Amino acid sequence: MALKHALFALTLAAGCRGPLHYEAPRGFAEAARDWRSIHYKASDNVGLKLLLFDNVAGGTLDYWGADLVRKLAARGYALREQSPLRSGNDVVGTRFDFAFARDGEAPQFLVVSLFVTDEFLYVAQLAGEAPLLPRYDARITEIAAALLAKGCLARSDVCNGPQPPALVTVSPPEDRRTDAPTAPSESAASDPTSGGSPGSARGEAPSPRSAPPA
Amino acid sequence: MNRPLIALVAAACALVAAPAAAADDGKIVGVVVDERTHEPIANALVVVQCTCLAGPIQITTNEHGAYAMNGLPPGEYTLQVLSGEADVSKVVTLGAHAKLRVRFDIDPQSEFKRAVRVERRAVPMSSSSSALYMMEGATTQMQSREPAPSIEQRLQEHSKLALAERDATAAATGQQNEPETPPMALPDVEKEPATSPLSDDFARQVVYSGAMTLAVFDLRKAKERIENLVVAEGGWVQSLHGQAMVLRIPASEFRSIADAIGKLGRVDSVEFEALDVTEDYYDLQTRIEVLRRTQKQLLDLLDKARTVTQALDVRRELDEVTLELEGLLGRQRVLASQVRFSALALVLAERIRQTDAPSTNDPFPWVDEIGVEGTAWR
Repeated sequence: MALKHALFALTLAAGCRGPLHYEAPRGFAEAARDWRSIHYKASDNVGLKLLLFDNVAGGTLDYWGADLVRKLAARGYALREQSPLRSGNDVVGTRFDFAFARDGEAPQFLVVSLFVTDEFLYVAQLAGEAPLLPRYDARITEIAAALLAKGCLARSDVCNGPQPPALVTVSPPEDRRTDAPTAPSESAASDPTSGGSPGSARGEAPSPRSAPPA
Repeated sequence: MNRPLIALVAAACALVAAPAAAADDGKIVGVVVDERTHEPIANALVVVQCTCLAGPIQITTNEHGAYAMNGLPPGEYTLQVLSGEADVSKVVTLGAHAKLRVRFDIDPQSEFKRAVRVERRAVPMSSSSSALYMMEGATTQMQSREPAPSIEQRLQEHSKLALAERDATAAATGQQNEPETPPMALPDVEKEPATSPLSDDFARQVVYSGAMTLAVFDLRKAKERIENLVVAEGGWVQSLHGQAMVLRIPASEFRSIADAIGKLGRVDSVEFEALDVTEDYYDLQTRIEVLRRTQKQLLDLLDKARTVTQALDVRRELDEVTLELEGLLGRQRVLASQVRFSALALVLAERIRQTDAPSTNDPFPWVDEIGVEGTAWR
């Protein structure tokens, strides 16, 4: 009886930790935490932010990878590199390296590590000034390995799904490398005489190979 | 003092005074013709006004439609021709020793123009000049030599003139009977540049305004950047309450600045409006000109008032006219300011998870939370 209670308490305690559990990596201090995000800060202002999202039916790594690249491209991010990763519990993920420069500001880097399980999307994003990237480049794998991506069903195709195809973004024009309005709004903003016309996003968006989530 | 010394002093005074007297030898000549038939118009009334004169001059054209005035001091002259229904004014600047030819092409049947092109051509002066106002081949009358009309008659005349001018202006606008050249600018009101960012039409007066909602990650930085953008282009922040601000932007830069502001974040909503106030603007201008003319003539009448009652009557009218004129001038300045500087009402919203509305109808706005802005630290 005591053993049953102990097991129950252990299970409960494990559940209370939530699906996002992460220890501060070396050189980072925890600045904020809630049940679905943790934000760390390095002394050189590089930030590491982990985010947790609920997955939906049909949401796979290549679908969400393409979604990520397309939407960030629309905001002026340029994809530089894309490479496979594995989480601490061996879930397949992808690392996306983006470059970003707002008008008149120093260029910055953004590295997004994306893991997709049947229940959740795990995002580990590292960002800071571009010259600091080499200092953290080799640590991305280490940071990903410290993440336990939960929510894999038995014999899940999602957790072991294929890597997204090689995604590309068209570098936005210099004057558009900003935190961007989306195309329709921007179009309207650019011409007071028009009510705005639908336009395409700035980035080259690869179509998801799988069907959109229901 | 002996006689030779007195003669010497007198001669010196004459030498000094001579250039001043000689400066009053300007000449304005011209002809009034029917613009449809090109026939000269006889007996057209030409009224000449200038602050450099003691009072207005009225002359009539001869049988050849010609008129001329000699012995005029340099200054800015307003020439008004009245014939039939026509009432045409021109403003010319007469230099010292200059001779100007000012031709009027009018339509006595239905003509009404606020101001038309001014043909100014200086011609060499003849050696002879006169200090008298002379008419070439026509009768010349100075107003002061005419029996002065009563104050009531003058006021009634000006009221009729004002109403006629307003009606005619409205009719001209309604019939798209645009004047051939830009209307005469008001001296007290800053002349408006071509303010429309969309058109080169100088005469158009359009008020541009807009409203925008912008979601940004860093409110403080966004406000700084927006203010810098606006100030750099000659605008200013008219009001700032929390995350709402009203920007006044030079109309010619409105489009580019709104575009630049839109790039500072995610535009959640944007709306632009254009309001053509040309009719209001020139209606105000017309009324101001009429009131100015009335005011000036009331001042002339005040000078000529012979009794206290007359003076008080004129003064009362003058006060009313001045009050109305100041009100119209104020309205015109506000309107001019609205035309020159467009207003953009901007509401900033912080892009945080709880309030982050999707930028499109995309059901998966998760990427809105990903990016340098919400991750890197300053």
